[in-house]
Amino acid sequence: MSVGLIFLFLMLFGAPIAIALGVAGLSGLFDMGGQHFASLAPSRIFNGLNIFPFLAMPFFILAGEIMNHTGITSRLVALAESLVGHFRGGLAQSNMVASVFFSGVTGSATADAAAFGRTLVPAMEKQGYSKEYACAVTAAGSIIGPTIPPSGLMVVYGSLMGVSIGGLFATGILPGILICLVCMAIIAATGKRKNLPKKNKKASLAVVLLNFRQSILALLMPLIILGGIVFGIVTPTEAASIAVAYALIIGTFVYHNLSIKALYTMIVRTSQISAVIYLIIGAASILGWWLSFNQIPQLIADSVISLSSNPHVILLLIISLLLTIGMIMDINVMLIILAPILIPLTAEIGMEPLHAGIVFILALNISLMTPPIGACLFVLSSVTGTKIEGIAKELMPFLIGEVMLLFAIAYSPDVVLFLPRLLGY
Amino acid sequence: MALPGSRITKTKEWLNKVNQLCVAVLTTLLILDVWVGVLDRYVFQWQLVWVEELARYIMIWAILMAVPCCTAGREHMGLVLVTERLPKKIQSMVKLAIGALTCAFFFYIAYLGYTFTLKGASQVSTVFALPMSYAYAAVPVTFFLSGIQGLFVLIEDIYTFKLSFSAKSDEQQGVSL
Repeated sequence: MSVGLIFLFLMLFGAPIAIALGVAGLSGLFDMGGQHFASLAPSRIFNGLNIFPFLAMPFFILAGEIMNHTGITSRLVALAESLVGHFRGGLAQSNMVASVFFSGVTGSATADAAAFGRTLVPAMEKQGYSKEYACAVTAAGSIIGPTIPPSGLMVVYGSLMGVSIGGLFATGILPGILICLVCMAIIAATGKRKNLPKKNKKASLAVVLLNFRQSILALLMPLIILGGIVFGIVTPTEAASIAVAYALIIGTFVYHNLSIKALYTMIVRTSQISAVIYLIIGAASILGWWLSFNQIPQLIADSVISLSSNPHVILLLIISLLLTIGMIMDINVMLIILAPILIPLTAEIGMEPLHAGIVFILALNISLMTPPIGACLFVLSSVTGTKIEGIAKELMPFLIGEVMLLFAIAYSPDVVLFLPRLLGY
Repeated sequence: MALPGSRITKTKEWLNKVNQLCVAVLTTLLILDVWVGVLDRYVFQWQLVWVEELARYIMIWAILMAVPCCTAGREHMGLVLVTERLPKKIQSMVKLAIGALTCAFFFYIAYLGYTFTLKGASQVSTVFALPMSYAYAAVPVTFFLSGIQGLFVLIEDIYTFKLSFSAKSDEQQGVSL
């Protein structure tokens, strides 16, 4: 109990998440047997990171950074705009479609939010959208990135929970596209009431083809990566390293705008982005070990099961718990601390590991944009200088739509698992 | 930063630059290693066994080596939801306390990690048969460096605190820092 209090206390007073986790974990070890137990901490950190597939995340981030540097974002947005730009709220719709295109290049929602926050939000503002609405659309679309593969979160989840990363990737494609469609429907439904701009006439086929040709190199990347992983030809780590090579070749030989200096900056930035996340994972491993040594996951699981024996109710409880905790908790912490507690429960109610995985990951992704604490909200707020409260208000319809979609996915395994089953997972 | 702490800031930034260079070299090695692995598996079939083990250990070194850089750049995220509602002075004091705790945590793990590394001398890695100390040392070395950078950040914050609160208010009791 006191370990939990220490953690909460430190979090509330603004301690870095990794430090709050590490100190709480250390205090737990101390409580068990003084320095003798505390000396386990470094080995927990080391073993928490000593996992080969973890390599895939920094590589995917680096490949995304390089692709972004080549100016691919604006090409993808242009393609999206030529496809759906003529509808009411055309640029908002394009934002969603571009998120799907961009998702194959990036594996993280915050990267998507940052890239679009810098480019699309100002463009939308210029066309007459409110800044808050532009940010809300970007936030809602940003979680498509880590739902459609590659996805850093799936890499970590798969590695920790022993679930096939390729299988998770295959499972994520449909929900990602569904998020896009749900959000597009919401934009269309509220467009008239909100008086969203409608200006472009439909792009001619020639323009669509031209934009398609200009972004084909970016669109090919996910196909190469996914094809390789999903068909089991390469491992996720190998695929991620191939993605880096592909991005490097395109940046150097096709777009000619990749300098050594820029590459150096990108490599350092990638390592630092990964370090923030992996330090949290390492520190959470200390606390995670303490939790499992004291059989706390089992206790929580038992108490949830005792509430109801109906699988549907248990699933409802799990998702509600994730969404509630997700409002205030970092998703990496949730992944490491909560997955070992909740995933065995899903097995007990007969959910398939891939289905449980995608539900878990989608819930975490949604929590990236739930106020008060959502990483995507923070990124958009700081990139565009918009108040979080304002974004959150405009985000509400999208949030409700996405949560409903999450429940639909949770309760219809056969639809979600169709593609992975087809591919033999 | 035009603070009396500018020498501290300069030292911090210099150390950070060297640190970032190490990170870039390690990450580049890591990418090359995995590329060699891919070429080996799909093209040359040399049957190299060391690629994966080397990659794991370089990754741990590279990623942990980037931790001090994040500390220097104040990139480890925390919640500001509660603290930003506190009075400015209390806010700064909480920040200092958390900064001190952060340093203490890094240094303590570095200290524990030292013993952990010594223990690793008697274990050998599966492929290279090298002492595990070389890999384990990543923990104490990088946490020690993080502690140092944390200390620089803390000193910067103390200067900022002193400047903004001793100059502003008359009834300032003198900051005993």
